[in-house]
Amino acid sequence: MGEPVLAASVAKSTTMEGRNLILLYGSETGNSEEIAMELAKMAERLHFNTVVGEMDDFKLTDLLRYSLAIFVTSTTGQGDMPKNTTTLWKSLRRTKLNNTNCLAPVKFSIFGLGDSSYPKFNWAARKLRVRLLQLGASEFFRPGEADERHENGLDSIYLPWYQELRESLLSQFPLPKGIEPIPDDAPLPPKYNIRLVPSTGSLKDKITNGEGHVSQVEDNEQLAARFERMSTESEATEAPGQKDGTDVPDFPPAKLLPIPGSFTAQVVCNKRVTPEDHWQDVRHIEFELRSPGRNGAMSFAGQTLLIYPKNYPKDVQKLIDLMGWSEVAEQRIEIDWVKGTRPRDYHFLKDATIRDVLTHNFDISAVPKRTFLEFMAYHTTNPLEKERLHELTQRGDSDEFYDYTSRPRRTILEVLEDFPGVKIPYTRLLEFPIIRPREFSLCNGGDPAVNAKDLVISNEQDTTTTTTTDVYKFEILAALVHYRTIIRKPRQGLCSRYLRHLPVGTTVQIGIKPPSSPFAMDDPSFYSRPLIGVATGTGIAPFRALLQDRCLVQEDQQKLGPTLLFFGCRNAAADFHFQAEWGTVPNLTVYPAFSRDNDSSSTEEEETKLALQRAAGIYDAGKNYVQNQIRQHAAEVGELLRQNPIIVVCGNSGRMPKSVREALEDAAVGSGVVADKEEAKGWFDRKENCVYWQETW
Amino acid sequence: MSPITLDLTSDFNPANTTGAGSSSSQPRTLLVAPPSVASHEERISALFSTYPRDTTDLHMLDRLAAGLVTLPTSTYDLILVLTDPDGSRHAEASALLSNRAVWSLLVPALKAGGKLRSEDGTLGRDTTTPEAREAVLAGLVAGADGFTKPDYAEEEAVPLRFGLKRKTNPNPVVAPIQPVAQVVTAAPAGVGFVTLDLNDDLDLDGEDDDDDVIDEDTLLTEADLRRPIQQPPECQPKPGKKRRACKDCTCGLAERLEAEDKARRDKADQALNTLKLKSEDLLELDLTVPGKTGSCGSCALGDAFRCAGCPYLGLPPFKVGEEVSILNNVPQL
Repeated sequence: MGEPVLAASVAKSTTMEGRNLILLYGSETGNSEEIAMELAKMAERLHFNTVVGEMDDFKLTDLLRYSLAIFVTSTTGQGDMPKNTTTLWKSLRRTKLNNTNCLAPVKFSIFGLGDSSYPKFNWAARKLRVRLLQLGASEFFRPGEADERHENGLDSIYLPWYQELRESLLSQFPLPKGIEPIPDDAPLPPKYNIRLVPSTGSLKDKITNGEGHVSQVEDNEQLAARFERMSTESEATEAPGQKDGTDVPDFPPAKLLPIPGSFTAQVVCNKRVTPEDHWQDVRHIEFELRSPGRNGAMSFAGQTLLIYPKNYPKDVQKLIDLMGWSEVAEQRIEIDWVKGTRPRDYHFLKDATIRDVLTHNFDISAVPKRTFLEFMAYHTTNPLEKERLHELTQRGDSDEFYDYTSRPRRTILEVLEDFPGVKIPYTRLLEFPIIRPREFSLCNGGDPAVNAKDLVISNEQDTTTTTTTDVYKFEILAALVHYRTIIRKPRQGLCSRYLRHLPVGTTVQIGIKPPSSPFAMDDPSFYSRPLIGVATGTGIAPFRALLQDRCLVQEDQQKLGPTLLFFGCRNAAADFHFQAEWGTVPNLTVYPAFSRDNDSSSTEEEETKLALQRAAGIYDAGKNYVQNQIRQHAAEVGELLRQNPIIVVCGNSGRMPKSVREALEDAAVGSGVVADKEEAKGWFDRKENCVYWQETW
Repeated sequence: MSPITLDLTSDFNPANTTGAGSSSSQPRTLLVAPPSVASHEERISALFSTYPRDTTDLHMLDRLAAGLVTLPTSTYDLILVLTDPDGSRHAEASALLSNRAVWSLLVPALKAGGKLRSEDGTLGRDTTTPEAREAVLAGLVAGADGFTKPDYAEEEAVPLRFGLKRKTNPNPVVAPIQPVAQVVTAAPAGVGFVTLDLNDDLDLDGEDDDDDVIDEDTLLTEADLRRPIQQPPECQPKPGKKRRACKDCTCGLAERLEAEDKARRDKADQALNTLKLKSEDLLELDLTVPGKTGSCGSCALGDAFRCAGCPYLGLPPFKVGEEVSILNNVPQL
């Protein structure tokens, strides 16, 4: 334990009375976290005594202890706050604080991350801001609202906001004479201390300065408590997948991370559902989970399955070689955190070695962020490399950075190969991004329990008992990412690569996330209301779950509300997922749109007309997309719209959700549900008209 | 508070309709109206002759349904749904009353023992209608002339959530009615009350979990939905500069970039092919041979240092003299 070891060249910020700043973030995928971390470093360079953490790590009284507060939050689900803000957000919303001005001393600024293809764009940040102002807090700097859709993504708004914020901090809170901001090329001390420990002894990672990190209260805790945790390492399977003729001698080891609220499950099916000659490999993967007992049906529709992918041993070895860590790779490590700085989602194996954490915890095949390249520049002595890294990370010219990193999807490992002079000490291991779980909508609903089985469970004493156990099945439909860029080696997603070779029988750790949907499974009208589904590709997953759910709960299936499904895919023969099942669902009408099965029998005149429309920016003119099908069946859509339907839109983000919304508005006008387009615009947002659920990725 | 304020208060705020549930002798009424009533002012003024203005509040059902209204808790003795005495507006009202959100606002606003009925008196008579089902689900008891809120000590039902935590859980926990002395201007959780003093012991992080929270949907309005998206300072595309396609590019830039990348790759492939030494599929480059590392001398370095037309683009760096095997276009490096 003890103080973090500081490298000699590290610059430390000066402590000044009353110059302190608290950074609170709400993050789902890690973007807000990264921005918060970067802002914290900036504040530290301006000699603010800075604390950064998840919103739920703090209480309202903490806000009052700092001269400035900066909030960074993304928006999740349907305009919701991220999960790690739940406690603080609830605390802020208590009615007893109304009109108390209790946050009057708080000076804050807020930065929101959003995606304008969602109707409730940046809703979380806006709600939070309104509430803070209501409670008397004042804004010391203008709010920023980043949009994923901008030309440079979040950076388009973030980078200028960052610059302006920095200038504003310096002018509103000037530094005393003689003290200068810490320059960007001087590294700041780390917030943790990694130590090698002898191979014996207890090795929990500890937190210095008391006040341990309060582990998140997981929604799934109750669920977790009910499921049996199977013994872990003994079940490790290392059988290589032999699919596609691909030999994978080094599939990652099946060690199970101690992730709070997660479950141990077994892969029982991993089959490709698209034909071999189809461009895309789509997998139907099934997991089984055992429960010691149950009471009543459970519904999982709308929930999301979390998969924790791993790195391949070969890649880990490459990194170890590049960094020169072979001497320490098999050594166990222990981490001391400086108070209040423990990042989220670090779930290390017990007695983890450096090789373990590299395999299970750090995403070495992620595309590096700018901050990572900046960090690399501190760790090379080669002037050519240093110069090149500075060039690449210059904030003025993000094209250079983009062309080198995101555009070809270059991985951290590949970047490190390009800069062989960069030797990151193992003590800075935590600068690598953490592997976050990948989310997949469950594609099965209803009661996921399959028939009870008598299972033989042996406990630690080696006595054998037979218990009746229920087996729950969870299914996902995963489209594997695989494509080419300027880099010769084909690009694969970390999780895609992991799933492609994931052998049946493997024991894995999975998470289950509650739905972001406004589903009310306990609401009887939910099953009798009409349902309009619009899904493209694997977006069919949550819809199928929903259908199975409706069929299960409604005893008299003829009473099921009428259901319309508009499903978009490429070819009837290739990716019309679950086609065979639709015939058995009562009251369901399916209108598929096969975008690549067009018959090209149109006349020359029609072709010219279409070409003109496309030139005018109507990208889907003449195409067979879901939106075209919705417009064609406007009368049927309108009939359901009159009956307070549930509308579910799932699939690719991008232009699909917007085009679908447009088409639904047109259908509402065309069928006379609303008078005109103007009225149609707000119509779908009102709860009394319909439930509108959009899940896109 | 000084007793003098008492006298002043009672004379002073006849217009304060939302607050002051101060006098228990005066029953308070909430009128809820379907939107079409708004155009019939005479109906409303007639109603206010029956239900005195200073003890009666009026809210529109559609606004309640949209979550735009916050109601004080445990305040009203009677909630009257305006349907017209002959029930001609009943259908309009019931459409809105099938919405669960409305009930989650109305029921907490009702005093224990309070009544909720419709003007035409039919509400609650037929318990199979959707609105009646919602009323019962919300905790009301059906009777011949409407619904009653049971007068027993409030207890909170703890739903077994099992991981299915609802995001939209209006479910406000109704605070038990405080026996309020007449002096105090009671403050039902409505709007516009100045009550708590910061210096008094306001427990900012109260441990009690049962605290009533505001509905977050009330924080933002329709105007927020239409707020323009912030634009970066220099959004106008600079000529010849815009090289990055938007995520859902429609202008063709994405395709152009992709084609550009492919052309570069093909060109590099071609250049590399001329360096092939052995078979068609497997080649080993002998980089010790002069001229094979390119004239710039950077070919052996990684992409970060290579020039745009480098034949080795997209390949990892290599050491000069090292054998590089490339199998069927898939580098095994």
